[in-house]
Amino acid sequence: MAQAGGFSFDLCKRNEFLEARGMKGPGFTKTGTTIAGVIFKDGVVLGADTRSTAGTTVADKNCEKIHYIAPNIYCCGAGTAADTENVTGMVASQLELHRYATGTQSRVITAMTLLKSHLFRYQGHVSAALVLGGVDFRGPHLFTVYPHGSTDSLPFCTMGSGSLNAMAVFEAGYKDDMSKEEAMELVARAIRSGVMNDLGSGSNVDLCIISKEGVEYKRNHEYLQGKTYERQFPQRFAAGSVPVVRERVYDIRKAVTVVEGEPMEMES
Amino acid sequence: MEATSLPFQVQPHDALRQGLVTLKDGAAAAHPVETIQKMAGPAAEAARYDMLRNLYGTALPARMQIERQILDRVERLPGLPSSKLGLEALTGGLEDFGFECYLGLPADSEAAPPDLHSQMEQRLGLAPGTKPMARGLNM
Repeated sequence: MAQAGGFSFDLCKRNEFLEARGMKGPGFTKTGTTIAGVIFKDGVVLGADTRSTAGTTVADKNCEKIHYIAPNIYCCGAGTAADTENVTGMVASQLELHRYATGTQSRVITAMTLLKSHLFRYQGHVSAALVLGGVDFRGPHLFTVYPHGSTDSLPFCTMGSGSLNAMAVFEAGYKDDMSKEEAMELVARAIRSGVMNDLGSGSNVDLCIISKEGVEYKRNHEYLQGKTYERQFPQRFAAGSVPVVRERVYDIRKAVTVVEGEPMEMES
Repeated sequence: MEATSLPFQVQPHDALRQGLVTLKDGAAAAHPVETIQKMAGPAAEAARYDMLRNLYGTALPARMQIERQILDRVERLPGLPSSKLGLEALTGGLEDFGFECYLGLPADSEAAPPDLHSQMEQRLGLAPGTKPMARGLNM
């Protein structure tokens, strides 16, 4: 038994052996993703699509990729779904403890340092690619954190498999000191280009607007998976229009006898 | 490092308690992350003490290490959870929150903990005849 908690590596050797013998283990859910963020005049807008994939299968059509870090900081995650959720959750807990100890608002740079030191320590085994945004007393901040722990500080950034599509939109449409509505429209357009052009991204657009006044979390800001066209005169088949080729009926009462028992005493 | 070298067998192998002898399994790390977790903590600490030694001379880190040892010894009987509040306050561990805080907690383990007698004997060095591993103790 372990003295402290943490990962258990007991079965690693066994799994390695089985995989060498040709067993295929279960994969893990990845967020083939488009996530993006933009700094505007008085805050940050974060955006994400809502598809999560397991291999070539869509595992979830409406998952949440914008995670809570602190009341004034949120974080979009791409990469292995479990890793992004656990890393952001752990940093959120650490910042909560830090706020209890210091009684001050968390700074975005603190969250960024915690994330990058954790990710660098695990040398890419924790595969989380993040877009971290928030507003503190220094103003709005936006960072990208790569799975190996390197970071960028940029006025607009994208991540995930649809990052190229989103970045193309940003590079065409970004202006300094945008209004909130302009920034929301730009981020939504960037995510939409990921949803439409990248196979790993899909479904809806989530937005999170962080400013000094507070946070506006717009879940399913754009609902893109609705049916655009529906058949006006659908073909309806009458019951019995398909011929029955063969029919077998089993009489289960011949094989099974049902014995009525005494009802169980519920009170003692 | 020791991780890649085979351990010496200094005592006869107790096959009834430990199963068939596999020195290789005990020596090699099961997963690269295991090596990272084992090395990262002590390395960071050693680097910090090195830095303090260069900045303030040898006395300060020595004193800090003594304080650390004193606080590290305040604990319950082995096998019972000790919070080590003093040590956590000294190292800044009070604010830390990692994988070990919520994954694979010993309290949730399905395996029975090693008995208190064995653990106490190991701590006091009273049972050199049997390997601690035999009774599920950590080396």
